[in-house]
Amino acid sequence: MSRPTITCRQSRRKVEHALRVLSLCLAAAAIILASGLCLYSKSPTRIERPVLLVLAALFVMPAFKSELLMLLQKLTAFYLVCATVSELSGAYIAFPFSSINIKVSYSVLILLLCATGYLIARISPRDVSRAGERGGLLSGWVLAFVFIAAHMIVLWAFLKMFYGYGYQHNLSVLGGLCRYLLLFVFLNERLSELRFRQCVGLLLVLCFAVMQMKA
Amino acid sequence: MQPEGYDMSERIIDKNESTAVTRPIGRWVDIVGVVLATVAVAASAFHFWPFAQSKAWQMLCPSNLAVLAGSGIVAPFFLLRRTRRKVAQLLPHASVFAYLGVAVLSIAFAASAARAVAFTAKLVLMLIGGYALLNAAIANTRRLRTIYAVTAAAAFTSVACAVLARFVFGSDGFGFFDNAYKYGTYVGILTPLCSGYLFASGRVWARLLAAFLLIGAAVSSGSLGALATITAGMAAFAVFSGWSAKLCVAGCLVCGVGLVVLFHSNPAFDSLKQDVRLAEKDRVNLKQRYIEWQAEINLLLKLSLSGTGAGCINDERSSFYGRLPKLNTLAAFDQNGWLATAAETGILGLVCFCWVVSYYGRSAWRQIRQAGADASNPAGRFALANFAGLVAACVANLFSSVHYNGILLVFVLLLVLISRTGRLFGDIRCASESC
Repeated sequence: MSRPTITCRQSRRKVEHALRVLSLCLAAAAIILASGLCLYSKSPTRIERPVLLVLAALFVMPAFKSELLMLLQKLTAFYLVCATVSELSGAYIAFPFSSINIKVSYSVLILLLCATGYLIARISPRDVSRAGERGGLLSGWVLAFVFIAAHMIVLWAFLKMFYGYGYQHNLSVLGGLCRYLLLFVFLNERLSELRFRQCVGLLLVLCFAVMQMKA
Repeated sequence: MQPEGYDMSERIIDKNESTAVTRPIGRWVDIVGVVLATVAVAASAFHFWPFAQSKAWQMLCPSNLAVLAGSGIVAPFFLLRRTRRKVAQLLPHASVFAYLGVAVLSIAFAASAARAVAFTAKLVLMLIGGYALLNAAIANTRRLRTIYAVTAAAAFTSVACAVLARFVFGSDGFGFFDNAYKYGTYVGILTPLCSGYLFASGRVWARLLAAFLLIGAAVSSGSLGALATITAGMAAFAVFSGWSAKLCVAGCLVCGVGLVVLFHSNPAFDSLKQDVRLAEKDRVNLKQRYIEWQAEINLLLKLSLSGTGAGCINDERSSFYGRLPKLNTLAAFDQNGWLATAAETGILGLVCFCWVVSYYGRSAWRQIRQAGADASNPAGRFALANFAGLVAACVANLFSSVHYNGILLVFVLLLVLISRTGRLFGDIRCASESC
C-alpha cells in the first residue's frame, strides 16, 4: 500500500473519530441540559420514589454480556432520559421580539441538540449500526400511534354524532408520542455504546439522588 | 436459508426463540410441569369460583397457584449453571421483558406503591413464570394437541355453564364469571382459538363441537366486546381457511346472532342490548365507554411518560373525566386495554406492549404464510387457530383488558402457542410435505 493511501486513510479515520466524539458530546450535552433543567423546573409530574430511578440509573452502568440485559439497560437509560425531558414539557424559554413573544419548549432545545448529534453521526458511515430491537420497537411505536389516533377519531365521531360536540382535547398526545419517538431515533445508537451509557447513568444517578434529597 | 419474511435483525435478540425442540430440564420436573400447566389452563374456566369476593382467593386461585408453583420449581434451575441454558430457552421474547421493565420503572411514579408492586408482580409471574411453565409443558406436537384439547374443554365448560345459568336458571351471572366483560374477554379469545382449531380439523364431530362452542359463546355473551371479539377472530380464521370452513363459520355466526335477535325480549339479553347501544337512551348522558376512553387519553396527555403507575389507573381516572356528563353508573371493567396500558405505564409502556403484540403477530402471520393456507396439515391448523386467537385478543383488548387477573393467563397461553407452533413446525412447508 502506498504511503499517500495510508495517510489518506489515517486522516479519514481521524475525521470519523472526531465526528463520532462530537456527536456523542452533543447527545451528552443534551442529557446534561435536560437533567440540569429538570432539577430547577417546577415538575409537572410528581416522582413519588426517586430512589427507584436512582437504582435504575445504577443498573444502566455495568457491562453485561447478555444481549437481553444490554437491551434492558438501553431501554432503561432511554426511559430515564425521557423522564427528565418530560419534566420540561411545561417549561418554555421566551424570545421577546418587537411585538411577538416567541416561546419555545425546553424539550425542543434538547431534541435539537440530539438531532444535531444524530445527523453528525450519520455523516460517518462507520457509525451506522442497526441494533436488532430497533425495528421491533419502531413497529411498536407505529402501532401505538395508530391505536391512539384511531381512538381519538372514533371518540370524536361518536361524541359528535350522538351528543353534538366533538373530542375535548387537542392533538398534544400524538405530539408527545412523536417527541419521544424522535428522541428514541436520535439516542438509540448513542445508548448502545457502553461508555456513553455509563456517563449517562452516572449523570442520572446524581440527578435523581438530588431529587430524592430535595423530596 | 431463512424462512420467507424472517427478519434478520430480530435474530440478534432472538436466541431464546430457536427452532430447536427444547430439551426437558429433568424427567420429574417435566412431568410436574405438564400437570401444573394442565391444571392452570383447565382451572382458568372456573375463574374465581366459588369465593369470587375473596381478595386472597383471587390471588391464590388454582390457576394462579399452579403458575406460582411451576415458577417456584423452575426458578432454582435458572440459578444452576448446568441447567440455565435450558431454562433460558423457555423464556419469552425480549419485548415481554422490555414491557415488564417499563412497568417496574412506572412504580416510581405510582401514588400507591403497594398496588403498583402487586400488579407488576402479577404481570411478572404470568408473563415470565406462566410463559415458562406453559412453554415447558408443550415440548412436542402431541403435548401441543393436549394443551389445545384442555383449552377447548375449558372454553366448553365456561360456555356451557353460562348458557345453563342464563337461560335455564335465569341467573344474572355468566356461569363461573360474575361479570359480562370478564366473561366476554375470556370466551371471546378462547372461542376463535378453539373453534378455529376444531373447524380446521375437517372431522364432522369436531366441527359440531366447534359450532356448539361458537353459537353458545355468541348467545351467552353479555357485551358488545364479546360479540365483536368472536366475530373478528372467526373472520380472521375464515379468510385463510378453505371454503367448507368458511361456510361453517358463516352459518354458525348467522345462527348465533339470529338466536340473539329472535329471542331479544328474553331478560337474559338485557345486558347485551344495553351494551350494544351506541348512545344512552336519554341522549344527554354519555356511554360509560366514551367517558373512560376520553379520561384515559386525557390522562395520557398529562402523564405521557410516567402514567399513573402499573395497575393504578383507578386511583386517578375519575380526575380526568373533564366536562363530560356522566351517569355515575361506573361499570367495572368497562375499559380499553390499549389505552389503560398507556395511561398506567405511559407511552413507552404502550409502545413495548405493541411490540409484544406485533412480534407475536408477525410470527403467527409468518406461520400462516408458510403453511400455504392449507388447513389440512397440522401446521396450518395450529397456525390458523393461533392467528384467529391473536386477532380476537387484540379486539377484546379494545372493549376490556387482557391484563385482568384470570384473563392474563389466556393471553400468555396464546403467546406460548404461537411461539411453540413456530418452533415445533420450524419449517412448516417442509413438515407439511413430509420431506
